Amino acid sequence: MSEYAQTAVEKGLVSCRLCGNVDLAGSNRCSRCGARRYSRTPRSIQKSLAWLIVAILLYIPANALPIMDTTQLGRSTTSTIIGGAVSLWEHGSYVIAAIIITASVLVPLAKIGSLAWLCLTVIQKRVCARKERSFLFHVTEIIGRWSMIDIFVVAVLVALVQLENIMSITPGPAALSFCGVVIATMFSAMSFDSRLIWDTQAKLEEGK
Amino acid sequence: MDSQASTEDLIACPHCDALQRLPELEVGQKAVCIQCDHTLSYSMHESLDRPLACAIAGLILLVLSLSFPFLAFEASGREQSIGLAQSALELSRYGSPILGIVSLAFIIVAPAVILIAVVALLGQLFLNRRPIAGKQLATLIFMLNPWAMVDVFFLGTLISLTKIAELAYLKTGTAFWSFLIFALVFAATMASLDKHTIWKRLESVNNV
Repeated sequence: MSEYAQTAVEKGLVSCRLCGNVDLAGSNRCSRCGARRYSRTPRSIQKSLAWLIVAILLYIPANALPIMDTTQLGRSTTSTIIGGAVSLWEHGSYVIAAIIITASVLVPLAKIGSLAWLCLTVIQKRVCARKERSFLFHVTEIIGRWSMIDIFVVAVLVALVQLENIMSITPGPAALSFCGVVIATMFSAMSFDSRLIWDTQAKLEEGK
Repeated sequence: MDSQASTEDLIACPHCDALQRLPELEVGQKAVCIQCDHTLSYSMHESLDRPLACAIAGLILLVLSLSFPFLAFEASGREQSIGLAQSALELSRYGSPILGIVSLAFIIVAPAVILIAVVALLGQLFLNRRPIAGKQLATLIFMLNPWAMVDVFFLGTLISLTKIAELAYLKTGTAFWSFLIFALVFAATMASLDKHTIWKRLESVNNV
């Protein structure tokens, strides 16, 4: 048995990414679920990279600008994502500071980095570490939504703390850009057709 | 070379396109892709009734969560309490309408639509009807799934509570607890929905 399984496209079949059904090539709709299906999503890497660039551009204001404005008895303080986490750390909330740093800084960076690397290795038709790359993509897909946590923290605080002049919290410009980062990386991951990771081997074997 | 009949019980892994036949699974077993180890299907008791029951419970809990106060906040003798839907409105009023809409969509609209679709689809199957709009409902459920961020929001709420706990006196409302249970039930619904089982079932019902 060969190390790599035969794929639908090599057998002249088209598989549906939504339901896993396999059909003869021909129709562009899946016979089982009716979704548009392609042997490989057209321009998948281009779309994925385009969303990734949007995410990277939004990531800059998301970290540089304040995410939240706290006004207490006329005194107003602004804080950035990292600033907020640092002050939590100084107040002794180590666990929460760690969660915020992980969800808002490390996860988006790791996600952008791994999607960029996955796109690059597909463009270069690399054959190495397929299983690992496939797993990395899977993790990226699952973990991405957790970055929204800081946005929800701001949302709850803003909605809750509105006592006019005594104390009020308003969202800063970074909240919107960070929300954009999360959504753009999610779209980037959705545009990425992970079947491409496994394709190069088939093509190499065909050339033999 | 391939007749239509031979593709019938073949599936392709949606992650890597590897062609394979799924074995009959016993309860508690799961099938993973021969090439990339992605989970293709898992089998459990009452694989359709369980998510149906969970989804109905989830909808009831969501209604409860929307009708009672979520959190109350007291500082300098003034108290303010908010409901879940109201918090999105407050967010739009005091800060950013886009953030309000995004939060509302991810926390309430997406999960509600998913649960209604689950009840509509599995309810029809439960009554042994040939489902109306079965394909569309199933597609809707699986496409919207990544955008439902109930669990992320709940963790975000917990963090925001610890953030302001030292500034003010906080009370959790009825909706806080029902929303916690809602988050668990929602996760249970999605975890008990097996894509392969649902598409197979829909296919067999539609072909009768």
